[in-house]
Amino acid sequence: MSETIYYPTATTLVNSNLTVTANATIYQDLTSQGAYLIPSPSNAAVIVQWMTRLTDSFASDNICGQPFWSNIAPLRTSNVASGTGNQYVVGPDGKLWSFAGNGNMALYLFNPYTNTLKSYATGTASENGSIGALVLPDGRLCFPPFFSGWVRVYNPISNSFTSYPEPTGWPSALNSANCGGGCLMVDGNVWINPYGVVGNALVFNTSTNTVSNLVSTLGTNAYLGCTTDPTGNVVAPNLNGGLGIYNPYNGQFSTVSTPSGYWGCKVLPSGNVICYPYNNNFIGEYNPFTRTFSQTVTTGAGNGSFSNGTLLPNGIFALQNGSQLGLYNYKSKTFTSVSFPFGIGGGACLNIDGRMFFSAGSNTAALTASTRPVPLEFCMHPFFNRS
Amino acid sequence: MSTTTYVPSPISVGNVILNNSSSSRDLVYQAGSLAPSTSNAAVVLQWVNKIVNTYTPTPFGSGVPLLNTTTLAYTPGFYYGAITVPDGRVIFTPGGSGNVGIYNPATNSFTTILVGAVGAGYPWLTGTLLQDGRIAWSPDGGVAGRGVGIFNPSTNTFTSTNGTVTGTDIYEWSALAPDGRVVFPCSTSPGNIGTYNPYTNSFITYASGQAGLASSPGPSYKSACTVADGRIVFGPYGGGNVGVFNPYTNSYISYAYNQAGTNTQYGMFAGSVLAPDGRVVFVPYNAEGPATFDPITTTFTSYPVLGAGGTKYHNGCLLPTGEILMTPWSRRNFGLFNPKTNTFRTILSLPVSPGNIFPVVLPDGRIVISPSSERNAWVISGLCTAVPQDFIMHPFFNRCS
Repeated sequence: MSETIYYPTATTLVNSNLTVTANATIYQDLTSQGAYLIPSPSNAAVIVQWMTRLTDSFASDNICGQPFWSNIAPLRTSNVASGTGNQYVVGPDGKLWSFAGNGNMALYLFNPYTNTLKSYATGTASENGSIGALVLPDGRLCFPPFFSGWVRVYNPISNSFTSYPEPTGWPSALNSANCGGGCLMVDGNVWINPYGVVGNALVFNTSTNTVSNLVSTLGTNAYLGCTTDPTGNVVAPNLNGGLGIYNPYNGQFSTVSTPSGYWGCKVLPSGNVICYPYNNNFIGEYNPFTRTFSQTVTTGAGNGSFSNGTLLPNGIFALQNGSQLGLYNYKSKTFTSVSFPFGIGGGACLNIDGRMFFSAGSNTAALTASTRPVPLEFCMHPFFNRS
Repeated sequence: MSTTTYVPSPISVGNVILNNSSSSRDLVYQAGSLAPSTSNAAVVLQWVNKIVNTYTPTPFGSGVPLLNTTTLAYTPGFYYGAITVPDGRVIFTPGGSGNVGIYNPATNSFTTILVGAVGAGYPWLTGTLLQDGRIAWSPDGGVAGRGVGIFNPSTNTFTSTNGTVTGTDIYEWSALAPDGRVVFPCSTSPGNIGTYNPYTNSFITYASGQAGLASSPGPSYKSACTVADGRIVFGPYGGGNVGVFNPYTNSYISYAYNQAGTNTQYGMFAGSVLAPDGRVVFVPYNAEGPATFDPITTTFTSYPVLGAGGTKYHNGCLLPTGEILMTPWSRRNFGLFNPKTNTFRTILSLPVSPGNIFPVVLPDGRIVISPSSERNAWVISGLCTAVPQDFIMHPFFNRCS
């Protein structure tokens, strides 16, 4: 029996062992697999290559590029729907969820084809003091606590909320902020920032649905927003100054010195972590490979008041505060802003059609940065899909 | 917790080493993003070939093509073109229907949106996807001052650019130039090349009255196709010429041909499609078979395998298998031209002669056929497998041929 190999260098393979008389090296495209690699020191370089290739036409240039057939200049903003939940996240099947958080129970499913919102179940009022949201590996939406003692979890299949209590000793009163957001860790569990009186970070175990103390944060507890970086560490800016760094591979917590005033962070295509200037007017970048922090460019006079951000498909990072979108080019270290007349809510998400959806007053608005369809793994990657 | 590394260590079988320690940057993969130009043409065509060579003509798992005629609702009137927009929907140009047809592959549903004040006749004909995601519909003549129609799929809204087109010239077909302009061959005498600039919302004509543009009766050209070096080839309809417009120099030239079965009557070829080897394949309408034009050597070659008889096929698209699907007008079967072997075959059988219909390849490998006059849209499955979105969206292929 014989068979023909399809490849261009086709040859006939006889029904016997393949004999190679010289060394042969076969390469495969590992870069495209970067979206699926677990962040770790050894995988970090490939993950950064994936993000770079995703957002660049060519890495050697100094601009953020896109295909010639996709060109939005300047970036376009518009209201697209009446109603909003204030923040947005991409759900497990690519659907867009909008929610309010922090005591407001509203939860909506946004349909980008028809630009409409539909109300969904909202849970128990006393347990709704959350800050931001993220998607769990099993597809549930997780709402870390803020002014409450509960981790809220929404199951889109059963359309139901379940609340899981913080451990004994944590304040659960609605008038006491005790946590400041969370992010998915490399083991599939959720890191939850301490914000307030308790000097420990929490972990929500997504397998057992339990919340427990994870590690001491060395007595500094004003952490707001966090991300897993390409090396696998959790990075959390402290509003009072410093970055908290948690290494899930050895369980050690450490800090990196920074100026004060940073609230929230996400990963840039370079692998650095952008820290949003809230009570500060300089964008911060943390390099997870050198463990160094630098201030790159000012966002203008006064404090930036930015507490959310979204990576756009062209590599530009869009920061959001209450009145403007800040556009940060991580390559050229330049910053421009786009005013929006209706006020801007916190937490945006990127849809597969290249539009970033965000809240604008009582409406849902869109920023169009590219007409190139965005891979779903980009929209849903935990580096980016979080508010 | 220990570090988990996904990448396996190099493995060795005899003297064959599978090396996972390094990965070269794949420039061919990225060439789908490059602007077509003389210097980029070679690698751009490599990208096209890399995609179509991934799929054999009979992909694993595919069987006999299946024609589905029942899933899409009937809508009055007909549509003249079809374009895929960034969110994955397929937008059908109003044509004579007075509304925009929208097919959503995710839900397999068909809806319509009234565009309002569409006027008499066929207000807008084919369309081209602009760089900012909007669609520019080409204006029909007969209404003085009618301009390019702009449909924004992000907001599902329509804007008329009345006044951007001078006079009553008919610009039936169009193609995207590398600089973002839309290029139209005028189909009314004395003829010119129209260009719409979406950034300035202006319409400028070139080469008015030059050789090959005017024809009697009817238009010289019917179809426009961007090729790998960025030039735009106009498919011959009447007059026996292939037209070429260079958007880098705004210059135009025509090439006369004279081959059996191709120039005996009016209305030779009604569509044009870029083949993976860089040639343009013309869809036979009244011609006796397909023909190809090599824009580098300017060689025209006909393949008169279909014999006499008019209004055979009208439009076409490149499939990820490398073959070119041609949609019928009076015939009831679909044509498949293989540019590797220059051979032609037919597949499927429609219940009626469809008239003017356009094929659109979907990301899941299905092909949606735009609704024609009083006909449902059709969906063909089983002909090819899922394909990359860059292939679906690239202006080489995401166009009305």
